[in-house]
Amino acid sequence: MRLHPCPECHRHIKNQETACPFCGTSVTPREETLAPAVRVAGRAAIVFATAAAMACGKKDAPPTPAAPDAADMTSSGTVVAVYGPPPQWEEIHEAGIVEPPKPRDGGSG
Amino acid sequence: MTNDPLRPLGDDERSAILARPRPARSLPLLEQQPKRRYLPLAEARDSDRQYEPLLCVWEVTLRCDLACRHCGSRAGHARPDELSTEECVELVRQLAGIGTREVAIIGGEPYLRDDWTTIIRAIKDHGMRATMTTGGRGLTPERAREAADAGMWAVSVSIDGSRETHDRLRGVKGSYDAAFAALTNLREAGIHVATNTQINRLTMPEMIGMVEPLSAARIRSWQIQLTVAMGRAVDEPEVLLQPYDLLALHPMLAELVPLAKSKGIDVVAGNNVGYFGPHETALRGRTRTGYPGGCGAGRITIGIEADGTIKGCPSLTTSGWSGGNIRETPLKEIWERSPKLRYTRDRTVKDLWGYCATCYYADECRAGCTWTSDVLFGKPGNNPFCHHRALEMKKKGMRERIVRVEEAPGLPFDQGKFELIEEAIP
Repeated sequence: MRLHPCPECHRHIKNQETACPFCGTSVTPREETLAPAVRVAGRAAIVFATAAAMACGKKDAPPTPAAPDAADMTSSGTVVAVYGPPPQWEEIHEAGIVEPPKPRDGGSG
Repeated sequence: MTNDPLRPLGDDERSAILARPRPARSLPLLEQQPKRRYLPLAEARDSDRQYEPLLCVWEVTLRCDLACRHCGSRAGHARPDELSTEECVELVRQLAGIGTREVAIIGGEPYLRDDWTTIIRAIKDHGMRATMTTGGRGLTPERAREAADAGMWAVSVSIDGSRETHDRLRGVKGSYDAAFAALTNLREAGIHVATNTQINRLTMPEMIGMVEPLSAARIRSWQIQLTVAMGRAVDEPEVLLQPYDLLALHPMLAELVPLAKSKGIDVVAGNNVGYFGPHETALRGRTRTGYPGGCGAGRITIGIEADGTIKGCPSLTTSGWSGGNIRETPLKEIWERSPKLRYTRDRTVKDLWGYCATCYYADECRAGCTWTSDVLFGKPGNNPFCHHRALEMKKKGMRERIVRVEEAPGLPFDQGKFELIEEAIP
């Protein structure tokens, strides 16, 4: 992550800031961090599979700074789209109802 | 204009808008599919192969049983050349092949296709999650059971404000009650349900009041998004929020989120609900970074029109953002090589303009939702629907207002033209 909320005014500020540009509060610079790991244990396999895809891309592909952004997903691994598919996977899995989707098996088309 | 910023429309103005007949030109006008031309596919790059359209949003038909007055696609009649059942099943196979995890079918109304359960079943059989977003007017118990039997995972039903406002926006009296009946039918069929709401000048004052009925309907997930100036929404611009309305909207949402949570409802902010104000954590704290990450079109999402046209996001204009057609080109080729789908993969701060080009958050946000700004000004990269921006304007005693200067032509996913006025706060 490259931003974090100012502890005083709650506006997001860049990690390297020494003072909040919005309210002036002194802050300690932070190092850039990866998005917090998704909690895998006890969660749906889709959460793991999706998070892994977001974090790593395909196995044999070179790393790229323009990889899909984890901020487009909720902590439960749900993609948030304009049209609003319901983000309930985590809850639904916990109820023991879900079978995870099959892993994809190569390109097509 | 009232003194209450959450009620930007005065009572008389609001009543007049609610009572006004729909503009004649906003009836479905599509008789013939316009001839499409696409940019040539570019050379394949390794970097493009890292992107997978985790979420596909697929308009399976433009046929609709509602007549929503904000409908971006001007749905009503089916397109003249929608994909056949066989073409749909083949498209499902190709989606699975390029890494799609979830296929959300939309319309029109998907259930108005006779083969909609065949499509649902194909999605499930290919290991993807089948979901749907619907107005729900015709989601009878029988249709809900058919969908469940075919493997429908979850359905989001659109509900916009109070009964009066919803029925007016959706263009059909009784559609509010039908939407709640659909939720019941879906739940009884064993399908998980959620809801989604348009935010505009008619619904904004009613959102707090929506918590009780949604809670009573046992909704657990509620997606919200701003009504965008596309399609029929261009025909009635006074219903759209103004950029400065976000100064009232975001504090209200900061109140709404915990209120809804107390009733067991998670509010999910869509990608166009403004950005980077002091309430960002309340709105998007559950995302992995806790803040908006810019447009996902062509990076994690893909949109499909009913005739097989492929876009990076279902909401983007057909004329400006179609990357190809599945009838002419394999999906994998379009996904990896279409310049239109690559747009957000390659976009940098240099592609931004206006306020967004100089914004503190430019590198993270990159003007947020491509769709929202593109339909206003004919190009993306300068998005006035931003809380941070409205706050910065306010500091200077200024605000921004959009004014329609050109109507939309009357085709699905069309756009008008707007000017951005910067003015002193009255």
